[in-house]
Amino acid sequence: MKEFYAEIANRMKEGNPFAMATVVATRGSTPRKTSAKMIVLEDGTIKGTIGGGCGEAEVWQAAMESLSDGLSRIVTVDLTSPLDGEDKICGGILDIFVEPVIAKRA
Amino acid sequence: MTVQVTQNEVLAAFLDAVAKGDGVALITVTKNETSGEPPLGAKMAVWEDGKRLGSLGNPDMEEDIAQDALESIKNQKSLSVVYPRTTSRTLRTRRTSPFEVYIEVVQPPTLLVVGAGHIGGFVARLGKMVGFDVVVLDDRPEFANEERLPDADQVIAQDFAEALTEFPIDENTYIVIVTRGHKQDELSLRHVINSSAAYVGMIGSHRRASAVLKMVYDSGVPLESIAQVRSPIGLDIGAETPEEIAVSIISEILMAYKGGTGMPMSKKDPITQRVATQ
Repeated sequence: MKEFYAEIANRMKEGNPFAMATVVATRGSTPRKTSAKMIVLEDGTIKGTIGGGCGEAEVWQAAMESLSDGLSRIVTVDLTSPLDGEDKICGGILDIFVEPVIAKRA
Repeated sequence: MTVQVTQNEVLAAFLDAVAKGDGVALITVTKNETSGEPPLGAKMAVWEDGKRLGSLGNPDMEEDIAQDALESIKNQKSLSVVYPRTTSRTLRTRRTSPFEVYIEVVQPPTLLVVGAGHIGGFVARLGKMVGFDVVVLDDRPEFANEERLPDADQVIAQDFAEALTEFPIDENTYIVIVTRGHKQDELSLRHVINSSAAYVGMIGSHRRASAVLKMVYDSGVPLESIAQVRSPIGLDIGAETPEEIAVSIISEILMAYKGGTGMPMSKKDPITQRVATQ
């Protein structure tokens, strides 16, 4: 657990662009609970997880955007719509805060 | 005099403190629909001794939220809180509130494995995998060493009684007693049974476990303390090999840590009922 936080600290020291996504609130039965965290590197690589297929793609997209525009945002992932053809039957709603820790240079 | 620090300086200081194992909380502004400061992502770190770094713009608000952060450090719970403060945690309150922060605390629980044999080694490995800070203790240096236990954060080769007297045990400590013999198990148990550990489990068949617990009882330890001990240790999954037993032990520890029931997920409500109502 600590190792991941140490990795984030190291990446801050290295100074290469990356965004951080943290589950800050959940309602219902969600794949990951509050405090789950992942980072997204400039090349799109994900480290850590906020819940795998369930909503991670939306968060990844938001993280990549935040790296470009330098802005933080909240992403609300709703996994409650049942069996809509996507793998969203995990259930629950997650609020994920996405922030560009080091944004890309404009 | 206020020293201006950047969001990233606060984040870096928080990450440093987490690495050191300090009691610390990070407050991040995650919603601000007021017209004023601070921007999304603004941060303040609060240490358990009251020290603060960074700013949220409004001193009254900082004061209130710092109190919440100290509370979070105490009960080790990360959460989002709205401001102005309210006791209501309904979805509606969160939706209509113009301002929200996320309070993050990270203090991994400690898994203290007493006994560095086969089971202890696998327990250490699995414990590390699921996020514990792992410490392994044995009085045999040929077993308690980093080469044998590459996953452990700390390996202690020392007399059991000595080491357990010195080791800092608190509400965030989970203790697994899996030494090579019931004498060492009993000795170790007596040294931790009156601690504030969140979990104490001891290996043994029903018969052996009962015999050891009886000896501890006869030495004057109250029954209420003995009743807290998980022995035989682990969940009933039919484990036999050291690896399987380690899975059973770690499952029980996770259950205690996360507040699970230990019941199969599928049995929580009958399948027939769930399928019929879909």
